[in-house]
Amino acid sequence: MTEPIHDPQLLGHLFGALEDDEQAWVDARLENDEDYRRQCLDWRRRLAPLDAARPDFEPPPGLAERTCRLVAACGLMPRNSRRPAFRRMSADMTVGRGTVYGRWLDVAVMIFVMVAIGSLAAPAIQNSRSHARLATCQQRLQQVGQALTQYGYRHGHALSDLADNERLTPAGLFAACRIEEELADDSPAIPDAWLAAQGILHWSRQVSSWIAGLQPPTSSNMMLSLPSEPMMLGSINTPYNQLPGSWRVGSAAGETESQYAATAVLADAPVADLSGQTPDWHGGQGRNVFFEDGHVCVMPSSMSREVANSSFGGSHFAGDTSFVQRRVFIPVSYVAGPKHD
Amino acid sequence: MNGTMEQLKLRACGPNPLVAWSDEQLLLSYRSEPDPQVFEELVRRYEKELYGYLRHYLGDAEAAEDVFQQTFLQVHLKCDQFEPGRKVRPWLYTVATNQAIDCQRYTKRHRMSSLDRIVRGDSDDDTGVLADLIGAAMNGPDDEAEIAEQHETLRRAVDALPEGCREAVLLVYFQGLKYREAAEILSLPVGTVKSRVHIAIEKLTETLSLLRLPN
Repeated sequence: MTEPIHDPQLLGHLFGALEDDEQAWVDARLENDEDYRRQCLDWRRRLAPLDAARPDFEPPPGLAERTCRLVAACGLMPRNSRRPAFRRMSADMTVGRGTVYGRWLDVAVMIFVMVAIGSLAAPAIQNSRSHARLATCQQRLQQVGQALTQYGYRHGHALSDLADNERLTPAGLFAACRIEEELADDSPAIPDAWLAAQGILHWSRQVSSWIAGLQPPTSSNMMLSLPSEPMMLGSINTPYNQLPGSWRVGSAAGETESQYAATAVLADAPVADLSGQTPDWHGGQGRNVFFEDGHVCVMPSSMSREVANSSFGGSHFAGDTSFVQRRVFIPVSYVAGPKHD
Repeated sequence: MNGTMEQLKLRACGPNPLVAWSDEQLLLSYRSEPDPQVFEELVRRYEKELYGYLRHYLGDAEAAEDVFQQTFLQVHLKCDQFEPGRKVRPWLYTVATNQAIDCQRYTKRHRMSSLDRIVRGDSDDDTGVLADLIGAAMNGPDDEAEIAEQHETLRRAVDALPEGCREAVLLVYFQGLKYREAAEILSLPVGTVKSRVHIAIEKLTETLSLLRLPN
């Protein structure tokens, strides 16, 4: 029995599995080595049955066509088409008609969606800005109210002092600040005739000069004025009052004699019920702002009520029903007040 | 090489100029510019060879046809992964082998058990019986039965080979690939492939000598 041949190169030679250089080496050795030739012949003999038994499978008819149809059916390439099935990406970006149309459609849909979102979001954004302004306004009014209250507790009287013998209620710094903030002009607004009709006769010199000149004091004037000097600042086109007050049996009333202000009101709302109570120079707009321990309430109108201690312009603050009953107030935007043309 | 220019030039030469193209030219052309005709030419070239390999590997005609189609589907999908400079044949066999392995795992069937199963279908379909495909003369029913039995034994012998040896001998001996190509397909060193083929052939020849199959 022939010993097994352990030369894989010889098998490779018989199978045609060698590279060209390897095949050349084997050919050379077969030519020169007789023993090598004998081994090769032995291998041929041993492989003969295997070669005979090796099946030669024929593919089923139409296998290639079915395969191409399968690939085409998957949508990957057209059948019987001479043109490329796929988009050609060339330097000039030449693309098929369908692709360009689809792109423009995508862009149009995207623009539409953005416009729709913007239209829906715009009111919300505006409302949010409006709410932000309202919140800022409320916050500032709270600060004003806290300042008025603190002043009252510190000095024992309201921000603007009251003359004992005067039946006037000075307006305080509010009007002066409005002028300095350019929220109202400084043109004189109180007619002399009106003043005369009110019977205002006693004035301090300083105030007289202001009133006579109808020049509103500045905030500095207010801060530096003597406590005894009443300062009337209700001449800025609107009747203005700052009424210190306190609670009385569930309602707040303005009291000019009150020394300790538990409440304060910046009254600029027109008097709704009685004619003549609102000065002629009132622009018709305005709000009453009520402060209580920093709590701010803004009310659009006021109702006059006869009280013993009248205040300037007759704009006693009585508040509206909701205020009197101390219900929850609905805050509204505080209108700084129109300029009287 | 500009596949597009070559394609236009050769198309002007005759009814089927793609026949003169190499496998690499066909695949690279298809990769750059998908053309059904190029793809079909590639399929036809490897129709018999690849189908035979898959029949040997899977032992079933239906499975071999399915895997054959899946192989070329993968060729279409992954032709971009074919690097210029490589040979198509080993790459194609690699794809086919992987698909065959996936098929075996999916079906969980014995690789050679259905080789002799008769596949009923169209009259032109392969019956799947090994005895019908052996070119030896069949003298009669008794001879056919004897040959079928011997071939079944051969098939079992091939199936009984270690997995690595079996794959190597299928590629090198049954399919006629070179050692280097088989090594590339199996991701093995060339020397390992040579050794495994040698071991497989020795075992098979020993089995055949015992069977005393006719030449």
